[in-house]
Amino acid sequence: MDNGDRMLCHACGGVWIRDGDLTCPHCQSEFTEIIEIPPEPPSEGSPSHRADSSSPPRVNPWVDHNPWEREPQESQERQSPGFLGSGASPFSSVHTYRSPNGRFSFSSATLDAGMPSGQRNNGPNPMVPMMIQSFDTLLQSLMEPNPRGYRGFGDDPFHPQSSTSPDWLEDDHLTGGHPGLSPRNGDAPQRININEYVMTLSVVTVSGLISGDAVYSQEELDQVIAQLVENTGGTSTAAPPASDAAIHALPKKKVNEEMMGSEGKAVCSICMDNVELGLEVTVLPCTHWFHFNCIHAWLTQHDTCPHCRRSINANTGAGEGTSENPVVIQDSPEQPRSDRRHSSSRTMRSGRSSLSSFQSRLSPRISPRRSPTPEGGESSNRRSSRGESSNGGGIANWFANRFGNSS
Amino acid sequence: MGSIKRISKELTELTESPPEGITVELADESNVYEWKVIMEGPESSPYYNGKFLVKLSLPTEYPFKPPTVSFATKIYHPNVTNDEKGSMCLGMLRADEWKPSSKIAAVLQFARQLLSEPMPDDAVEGRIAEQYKNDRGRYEEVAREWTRKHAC
Repeated sequence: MDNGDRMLCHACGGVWIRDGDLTCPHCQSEFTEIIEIPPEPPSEGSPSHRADSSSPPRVNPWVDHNPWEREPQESQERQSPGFLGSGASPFSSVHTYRSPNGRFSFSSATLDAGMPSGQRNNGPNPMVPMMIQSFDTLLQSLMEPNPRGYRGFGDDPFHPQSSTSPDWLEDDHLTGGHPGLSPRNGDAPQRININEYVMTLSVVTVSGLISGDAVYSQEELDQVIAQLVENTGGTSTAAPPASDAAIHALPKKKVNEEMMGSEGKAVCSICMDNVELGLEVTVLPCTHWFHFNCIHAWLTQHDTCPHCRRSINANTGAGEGTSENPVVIQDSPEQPRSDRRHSSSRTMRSGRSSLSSFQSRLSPRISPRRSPTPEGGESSNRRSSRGESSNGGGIANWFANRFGNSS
Repeated sequence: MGSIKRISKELTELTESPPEGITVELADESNVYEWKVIMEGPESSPYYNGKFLVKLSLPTEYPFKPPTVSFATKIYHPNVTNDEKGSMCLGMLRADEWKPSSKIAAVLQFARQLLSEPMPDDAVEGRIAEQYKNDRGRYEEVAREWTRKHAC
């Protein structure tokens, strides 16, 4: 490990040349990574360098997308290496840091909405309004969860045939790095996962704010995930409480020699107190026993044995969803997708409380206790999800779908 | 009140016969719900020679609700969040998996075991998990470096 490595900070996205320790000089985060490419002099933002050099260093993979390169009358524009050239274009710039193997890329973009006058004089360039409109759409969709029916990211990114995607999504400049929306463009940054995708978006919007359901930075995404991890384990997937009648109906028994075990010593595994011979305890159908007060406190929260998790309901023997009593989920290829879409559109509709609704919608999917959807309910689900799907949109929605895929 | 009795009992047991590499004490003698745990990095792990301060918090509903475990000492690990919280993701500590019959000793031993054998498929730090799976050498290198820097 030598000094001079190019470093990337995962916390703030900063890139620098390593000098000594691994801490990010911008934000002091230690969540940093060495990007294994030789350091280069900072050439970005130096138009003369680009104009003089016939083959500028490939720090910017977007240069290949220069739309003017193929146009016949571009004498003036030749000076600037492209509408996305690093700091050279009058109205937009992208700085892209990219590892040589293409596995990692990090881009920052700024865009001026104003048209450069020189550009206007040289005839209309079809790319410019399109780009502005595209970014506009992109920004709007990120700022509000539900702008004018836009659903580009809300749609399943793995089904590119979606007929409702806006036309601009087909454009390589915006989707080249997106897995699934269009054939992979080898020249575009190869974004490998959602994290970097979100990270890129966060820089495009030049903000770290949380707006509605969307998260714009790795940190915020982590927070959401952490919260999900913490909360999906909530009561929603845990066993439901037992009724008071059922608790009182449990048999009681005096502790006998057999229950004391070979060591002649036994404890209630809830309070960990020793029990004496002759003490009255409550016995569950699974034969585990506890002090009545101890097991009562547990059963008012969950109707399972706190030791082996079998249901206290003697009739079913085992809790629904256990290996003895599995829940059969209908084998319908359509259902998971419509269900997912339904859940995400719900997520979007409920606005601020959407995270909790996301959780509660998420939980049934991973819960073994999920009951099969009746046929009628399913089709109405599908119908309503189709009706609502145009309301969905935003990265959170896309994330919900993605999350749903992988869980 | 029953919970305080059980907690005191577990604390006594853990103090009298501590599990390997684990030392416990109360963060504040007047509060049995907040524990300070010193966890030594297991020999078979890149955390070896490190001493990690782990905070264990017990809910008032303990043992009906699970304790939470967090690393106050920074640690490079797929199952510990890389933030000021240092929360550890333990399956047995999730509310729906928690069993009142699980003891704190078991929780701490499980946590220490996780240092030797991270569970990348249950990770809270995706990048570290990826690295653990795909580039074990580099993961161990960084984990060792962090241990040396923060836990020694």
